[in-house]
Amino acid sequence: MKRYILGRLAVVPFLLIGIVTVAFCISRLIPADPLTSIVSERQMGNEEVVKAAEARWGLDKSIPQQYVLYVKNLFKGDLGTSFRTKQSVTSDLGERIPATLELAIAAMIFGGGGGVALGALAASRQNKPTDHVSRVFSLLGSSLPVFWTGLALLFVFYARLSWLPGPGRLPARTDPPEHITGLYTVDALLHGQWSLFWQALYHLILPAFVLGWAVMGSVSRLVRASMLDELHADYVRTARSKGLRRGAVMRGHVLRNAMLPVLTILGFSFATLLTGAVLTETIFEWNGIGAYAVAATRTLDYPAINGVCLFGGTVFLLANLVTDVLYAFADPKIRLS
Amino acid sequence: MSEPLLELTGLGVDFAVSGGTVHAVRGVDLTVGRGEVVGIVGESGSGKSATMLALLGLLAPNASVHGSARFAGSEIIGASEAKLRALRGGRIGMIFQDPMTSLNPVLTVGHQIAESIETHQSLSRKQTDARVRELLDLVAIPNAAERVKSYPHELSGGMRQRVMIAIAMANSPELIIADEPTTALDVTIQAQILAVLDDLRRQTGTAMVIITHDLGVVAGVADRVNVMYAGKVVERGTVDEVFYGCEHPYTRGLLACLPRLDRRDQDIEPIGGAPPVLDQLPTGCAFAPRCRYAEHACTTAEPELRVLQATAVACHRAPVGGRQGVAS
Amino acid sequence: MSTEPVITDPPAAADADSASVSRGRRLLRLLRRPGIAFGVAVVLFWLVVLVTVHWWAPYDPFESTGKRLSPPSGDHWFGTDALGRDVFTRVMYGSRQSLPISVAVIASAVFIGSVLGAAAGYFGKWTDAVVMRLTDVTMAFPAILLAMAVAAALGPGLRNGFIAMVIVWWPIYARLLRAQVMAIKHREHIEAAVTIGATRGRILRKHVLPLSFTPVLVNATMDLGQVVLLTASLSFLGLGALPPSPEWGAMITEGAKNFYQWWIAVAPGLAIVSVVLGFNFMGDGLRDALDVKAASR
Repeated sequence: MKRYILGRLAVVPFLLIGIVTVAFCISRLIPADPLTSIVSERQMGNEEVVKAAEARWGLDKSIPQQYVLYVKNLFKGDLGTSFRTKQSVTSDLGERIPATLELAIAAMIFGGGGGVALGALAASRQNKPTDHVSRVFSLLGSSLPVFWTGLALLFVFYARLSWLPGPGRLPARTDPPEHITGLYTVDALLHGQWSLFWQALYHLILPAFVLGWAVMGSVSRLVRASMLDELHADYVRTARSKGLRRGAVMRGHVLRNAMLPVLTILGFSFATLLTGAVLTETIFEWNGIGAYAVAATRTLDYPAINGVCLFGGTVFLLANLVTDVLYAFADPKIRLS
Repeated sequence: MSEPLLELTGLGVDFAVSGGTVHAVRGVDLTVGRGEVVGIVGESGSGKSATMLALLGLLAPNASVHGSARFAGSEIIGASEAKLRALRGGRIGMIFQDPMTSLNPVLTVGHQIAESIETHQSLSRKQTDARVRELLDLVAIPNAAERVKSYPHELSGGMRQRVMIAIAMANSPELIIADEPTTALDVTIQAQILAVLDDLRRQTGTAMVIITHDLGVVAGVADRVNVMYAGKVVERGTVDEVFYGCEHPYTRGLLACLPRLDRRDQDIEPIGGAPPVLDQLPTGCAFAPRCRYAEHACTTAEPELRVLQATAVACHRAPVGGRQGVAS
Repeated sequence: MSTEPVITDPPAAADADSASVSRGRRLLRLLRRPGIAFGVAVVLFWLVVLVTVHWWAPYDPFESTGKRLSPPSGDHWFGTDALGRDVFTRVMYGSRQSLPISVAVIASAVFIGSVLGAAAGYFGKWTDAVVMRLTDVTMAFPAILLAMAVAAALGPGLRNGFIAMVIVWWPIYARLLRAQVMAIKHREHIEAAVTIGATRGRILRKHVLPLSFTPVLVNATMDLGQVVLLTASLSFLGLGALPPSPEWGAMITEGAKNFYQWWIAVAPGLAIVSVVLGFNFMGDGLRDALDVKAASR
């Protein structure tokens, strides 16, 4: 297994270099002059202002030099300064990651947990009504545009019925709990602020549902297919021929094998959630990485675009790595090699 | 024979498939005495595996079973699931064809053997472990203490099949059903596994049903042989009777496929064509379309098993041309 | 000992049987599955709309009807938007944006991916290394972020959105084709073809492409829906189609601005859902029917 994990780790630096390079290239491909978004148009004629801005962002150097500068700064954790917020991108990202993380975790609990349950249910009732309903529900999940579902649910449950709160992480004019992890629900709990905890949780319901539904679709389809595959496997017949009860066969044999491929997609889904929160955050005014990315692309704030791309790529990479390692532990064929 | 251990009477299995019913087993009568080894021989699709899986209720949900099967005097077709569970692995052990896929890849072999013991006996942890090692010794797996911690993929095909046998033997069953136990193995390993089975039978006196497409497998270990074709038994007798006095053209065809040193016969040749599709059987003898001796009678009435000189045969034409072509 | 004597070979028999039936007939037979039939019906509906909409659309998609933000009525089935344009007309015209672009994206991605993937699988060595590292890096980015970044870099507009989406999708097909080629390369009948001196091009055409057809078809069907979604998402974010173009995602943005005039966003949303659901049902049904899982693993 050591070799397997080392093999996976060995690829990481190469992929990181690739991600960094691509992120850099994309941001420097922008044909529009980024200066216009820093310096107001009236000031464009003012050579001194322009020069100062160029020097500050390193724009007066050649592209390869910019790249070297960029990588050097990256090692120091310096992603540059956002044109838009005038803050360092690193701190911008740091402020927003907890919001996205909280949303992604909530969506994952809903989508991943629900997906496994739904898939297992569909598999055990193959071709019965339950199976068909679950198929439609999960296909719907991957067919709905989240920005539209979000709007529609907000309209119904917030504007019309007032059952659920509107956009945002907390009600207006409510102070968030003192910062520990940045996840409002967790921080509120740590401070014992129960009403704040409920408020934060209350605000999580809709966005987490919208975001989780898409994941639930793919997870439940895979769990179903994987369980059905395993159900027909020879070792299931062997297990039954030993006189095991159906439940014991399912738990002790089928599920253990069926979860191997599911593990992969769960890891992958988490990464998708974390970064795919872009649209959900826009609709729900959730001040996370997604909303930051949208604002950055709209204003051609390329240090920020760069930072978000790097963040997304790294999360993907880490999620895949963690999944691979978990997989290695779960599959004796790899664990013992 | 006093009361047989297993007695099948008119056992049939139908599979509901899209667009009709497949009659996989069409009325099989069969007995297995205590301590007896019975071979069931036939091509794939002849219904030999379905017959035995039907006994234990291990067929797919689209199968329906009719007829009777008495095990140690009590009826098991239509028996409750609880009763069947007690039989499975407890009084009847099963060995399957491919030991690679028949063992669970993510569980240790020790776990998989112990699971069978725990299902049927309440032993202490220590006693179970001791029994697992005892079983591994019984099937001649060296280093039992080490091997219990192995996963299936770490073992060779032959070793895996020994583990399967150990699982089947876990609760000292009265009957072992071995479904193509050697088919997936190399030729040299096949002989070893057959030797293990033969040893077991001598040591424990368990009865066995060995299902195979290979008459050669049966020759060494079985007492009696049933040849199946298209869901029916077409010939039965002791091993010697079938090998040296078979009457059914199909059995002869099977024997012709067996390389033998003591026979140089031009008259017997492999059977051409393919077995019939079981949802559209011809009227009359199911073998008639492939039979070189078929005549008009064969396509109108289905032949019943009748006892001739040596074996019981289901063929209108038997004995075809006397003993011709069979050295004895 | 002998092998199985008189060999029944059901797979071979089935092959012979299906070979006698043309591929077209086999695909037609798939329509008997309700999921696939539903998907095909939905997609056909939108295709018909796409071709004929200019003959029967009740209003002009760009001209105001004079009534702004009026709710659904007999005159305006889905109401009118902030500029007084008929929402129903615009939604119908929207099919002319989403469908062609998703077909174009997938066709280009399949073409580029297939060529590069097949080359990687066939030539191996450095070709393989270069192509695979390229797919690794591209796939290391979450699709929407990559598309957003590219679209932002090139500037908004459907054309740039198209380029962004091709960049997102080609690696999937490159990997698929490469896996197919690698698997097929070692099969006996290919080795036989090589020994009898068949050229590489001929082998690719005669053996590799037909066998890759099904997995590519299933993947492409599912992905068509995802491209429709991503197109709409990019437009929603202002990076795809630009106003006043009647693109579904862009229309939802307009709807979001007039949150309480719910009808503006409902119709384009339903249009997206129906198209994507149609493609997904088709893909899901095809995957079940053709059992491509084994091939893509």
